[in-house]
Amino acid sequence: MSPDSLALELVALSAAVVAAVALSVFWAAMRRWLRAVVIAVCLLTVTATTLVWVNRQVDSYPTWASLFGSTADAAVPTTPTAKTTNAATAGHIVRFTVTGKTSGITVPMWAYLPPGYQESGTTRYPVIEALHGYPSSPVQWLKGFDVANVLDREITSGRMAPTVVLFPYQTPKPMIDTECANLVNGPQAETFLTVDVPEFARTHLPVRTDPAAWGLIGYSAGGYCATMLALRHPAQFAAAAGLSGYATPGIVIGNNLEHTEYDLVWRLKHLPIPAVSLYLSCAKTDKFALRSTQEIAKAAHAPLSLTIAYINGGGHNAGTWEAMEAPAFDWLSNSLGRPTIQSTVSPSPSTNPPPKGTLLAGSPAVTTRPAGGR
Amino acid sequence: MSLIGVPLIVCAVLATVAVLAATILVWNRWGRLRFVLRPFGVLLTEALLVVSVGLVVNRSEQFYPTWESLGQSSKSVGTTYVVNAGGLDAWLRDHGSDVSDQGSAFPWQAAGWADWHLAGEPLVFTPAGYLAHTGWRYPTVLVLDDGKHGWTTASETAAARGAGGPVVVVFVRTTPATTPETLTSVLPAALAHDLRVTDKRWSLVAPAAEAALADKIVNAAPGRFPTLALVKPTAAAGRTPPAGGPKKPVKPPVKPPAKPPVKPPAKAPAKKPPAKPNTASKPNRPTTATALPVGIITTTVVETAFTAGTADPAGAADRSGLAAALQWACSQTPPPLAASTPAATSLPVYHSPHHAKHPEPNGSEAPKPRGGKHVTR
Repeated sequence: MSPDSLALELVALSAAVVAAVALSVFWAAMRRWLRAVVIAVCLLTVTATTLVWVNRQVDSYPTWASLFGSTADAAVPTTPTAKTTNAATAGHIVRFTVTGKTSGITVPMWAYLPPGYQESGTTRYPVIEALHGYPSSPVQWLKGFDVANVLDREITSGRMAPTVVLFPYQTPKPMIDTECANLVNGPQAETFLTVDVPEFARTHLPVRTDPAAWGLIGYSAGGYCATMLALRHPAQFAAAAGLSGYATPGIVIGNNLEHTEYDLVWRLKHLPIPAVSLYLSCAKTDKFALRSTQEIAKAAHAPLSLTIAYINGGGHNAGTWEAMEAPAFDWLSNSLGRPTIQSTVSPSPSTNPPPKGTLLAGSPAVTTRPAGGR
Repeated sequence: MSLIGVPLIVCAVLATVAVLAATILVWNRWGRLRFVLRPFGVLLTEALLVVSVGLVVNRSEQFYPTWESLGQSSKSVGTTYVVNAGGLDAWLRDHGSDVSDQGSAFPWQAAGWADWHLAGEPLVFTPAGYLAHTGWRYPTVLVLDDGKHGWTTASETAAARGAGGPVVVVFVRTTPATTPETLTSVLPAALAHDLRVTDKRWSLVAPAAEAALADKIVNAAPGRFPTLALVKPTAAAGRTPPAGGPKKPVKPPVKPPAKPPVKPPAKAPAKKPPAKPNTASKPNRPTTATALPVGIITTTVVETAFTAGTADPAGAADRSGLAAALQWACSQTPPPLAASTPAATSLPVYHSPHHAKHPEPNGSEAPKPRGGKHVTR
């Protein structure tokens, strides 16, 4: 019975009802101190019921361990739940533990492996890092947004290329809001997401390593994260999709950086603008996100490519992000390089190494072959 | 009454107080009925208290700004665009050149191409399966041919076929009068009219001698051309390869390091991620007229004496600098894809049983696939 389970919510609700009934029925028989205790129990149980409901909405604490500051494992369906799934049409979810050697952050990370994925195969997939909101966890992508089924549907329908999607934590402790930044005297979340996670993926998964095939997506705080990381690391990410994201981190990063480098509008106005592609989507009723999106759009110009999608209705909630999910993934796939086939030819010992960044015609370095035909 | 308005919050708080007061009043009255009214009052008070707090939080965070947003459908499933046929699709099918599934190569006489200041009509290559997958739109690799590299129609066709993936390749015969505007807007618009091509993330291939024009193209349309491959010949190109195997490639002149970005007035962060090798933005590139922004991915393909002088023409085509550049350029583009799920423009998402009545997205700046219209699946 996890903290985000329906069973726990029903138990908490039952406890609230029992406490209220007990208070009412045994009121006359109770001493004063006992009445105070039962009243407190009533308030605690109703508070617990509310908090469990909220946790079920945001999946901030998917495990009991996470309640005590650990970003521990959570029970996540490893295969999509669609009735017609099979190996050819369904991807699956796997869990890793990423030990961040550079950032010092060690947390679980889930990965969606697309239909047809073979660990020992020669296909090298594009990668999308999917970032969660705050308070929340990667589990909301997996359980709340049903992301595996969404990705399966988009890939099998040909609207999206087979892609590996990573779901990392962006904080070492659930209650610490990092906004994916390197906090001064705090967690180095930015380093974790831009150095450790890519390094882990390159080492453990058959993914493309060049920036043309790396993208970001996130909702709420994760939306800010995706946009911020793409602007700050254009040599690593080609595109980013921010769903209901903001223009500022909304936290204190330190050294006044939250008002400069990490303020996206300030950044666009004062620093060189990179040639990356951004997709910003929000509900028109989500005033904070709408204002941020409009400010970013006003400050952005070439070489930045910006696509904006507004939704009438909705809000800053899971239902709205679910509606944004598939179009955003499709847009990302159209903004990233394709899966390639890694050549199995070994480099010839007599081949002269080309200069860095240079392809030598006829060398094994250029024998990768796109695998777009499906 | 707005879901995030103060009046609703006031009402909720007043209702909480009223129910609490009523519960206290009936606590010791109404005989045995009080044993029903008591828990009912307690639970109702608790529920109203939770609602009041929830309304305050909702007003602050705008989770559910409207009553409608509380019960809206969220899945934007079942709607997509249909991809309209390219203007030349029927012509290609009539000529049967795609039947062999080898793709088609043809001189492309687009409307108004004579005004593009080219040395000749562009050569267009459509990949194998182009006519079979009528719902796909294809990325494009644009190749500038200044006529000084000795690239022939046959070698270009062979190189395009060896690109290794489904991509439309356009070879344009540039002249000194060819303008970047022609290649960034006029030609893409004409190509989109004639073929099913995407509208972003193409790739550009150019001889090193055309680097200045290529840079202008990339700077003018970085969203369409975020990647650039330059083909640099060696001094020994065209000669017989030496018996000792591949010749060491000529190292192109290294560009001086770019000026570091302007630092903000604020202090530097205490800890920054270590700098990663920036192979994307700092390749060895020949001298160019203009600097490219960070994020543009470039590479340089060096023709070797081995590839330039091989006696096997077919093999030479596969291993030529042009073929290598096309392979790289192709890998930088997305695969051909069906039209994306259109961005949801309203909640609840409207699902019409009649295709013709399906609403066209509006109120959004999301790009609409060219010539697309809605269908349901």
